[in-house]
Amino acid sequence: MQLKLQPASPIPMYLQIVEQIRYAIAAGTLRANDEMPSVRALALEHVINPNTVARAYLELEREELLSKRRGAGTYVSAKAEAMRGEYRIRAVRQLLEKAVATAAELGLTAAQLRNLLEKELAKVEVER
Amino acid sequence: MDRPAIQVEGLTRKFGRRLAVDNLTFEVPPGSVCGLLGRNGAGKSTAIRLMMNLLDVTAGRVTLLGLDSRRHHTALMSRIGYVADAPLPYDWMKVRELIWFTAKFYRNWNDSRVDSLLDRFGIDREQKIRHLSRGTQAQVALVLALGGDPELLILDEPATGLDVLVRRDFLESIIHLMQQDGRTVLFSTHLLHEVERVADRVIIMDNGRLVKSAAIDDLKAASGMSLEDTFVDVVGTKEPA
Repeated sequence: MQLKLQPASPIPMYLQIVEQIRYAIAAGTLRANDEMPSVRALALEHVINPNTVARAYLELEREELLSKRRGAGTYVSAKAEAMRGEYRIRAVRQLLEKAVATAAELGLTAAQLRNLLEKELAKVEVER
Repeated sequence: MDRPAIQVEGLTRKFGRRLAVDNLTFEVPPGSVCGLLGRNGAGKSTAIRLMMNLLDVTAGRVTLLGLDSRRHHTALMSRIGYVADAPLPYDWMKVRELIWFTAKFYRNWNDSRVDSLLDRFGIDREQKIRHLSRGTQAQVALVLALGGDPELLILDEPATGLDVLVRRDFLESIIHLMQQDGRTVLFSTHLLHEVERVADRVIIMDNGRLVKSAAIDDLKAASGMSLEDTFVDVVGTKEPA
């Protein structure tokens, strides 16, 4: 599992792991019933404290994105797939909220912002 | 296992009129990796030497693994791994001989761990200690500290002066040790990014005093700042790299 961790960031390491696993589930890189690396393996791979990984897994279990199977490791839960749509929308909405807030701070009008969004969408459609 | 692995109460040490360590009180829970931070001269090394009972306290006490570190010094030594901020003793011995010699002091000496660490670090067992580079000597010190399968590992500036790859090996060895439940590590350093990678707690000292003792995640969540910014905030000046 390839994580991009930034120990020097103000964001706690366990939250960075939580967010990246959520993202991988939302993007479909991780699917229901996929087995997660063990806490030990992930800690060793990234040279981080096993407690940090354990805390991230615990948080994701609380959200029911991961589930532990007795004596058999940690898996992406079946529910995660169902929650994926919701997470996708949430992830993009958060970015849009930031963009809208920045636009407001810089004094862009709603029309200008809409125009920008249309242009960005057009770019992606062309690329596709 | 709620008993703290390290319990320091009112620890004080004077050198002449100077207070090197001033009424230091903190706890480190079992199973954590704790970075002891502070600028040069903040009192980190003195605090560690007091904790290891290598230096007499002026006041206060230290409890390690539930035992008073002065009264139970001998019993504790076989359960604690310690890497000093000083050259290895017995530098006329060969690596093999120093390991054999050190092993005698420990009940649970782990030969296979020692062998695999020596191999990983690429250390020649037939070399004399004094012919090894500083980095390799530091690695030997770490191997010796880990060989006794310590419940508590205390490292005094383990990574200072080592190159990036050797430092990485150091951190990996700490993580390896932590794979065993309940193992606790305390290491002092003035290199913040080292702490952020493997530690889950920090203790920050300045002028011999405690200025912060907290879980790193809690510290970040409460302040919204990176550890470096918090350090600068509580200690006042940025440590030159």
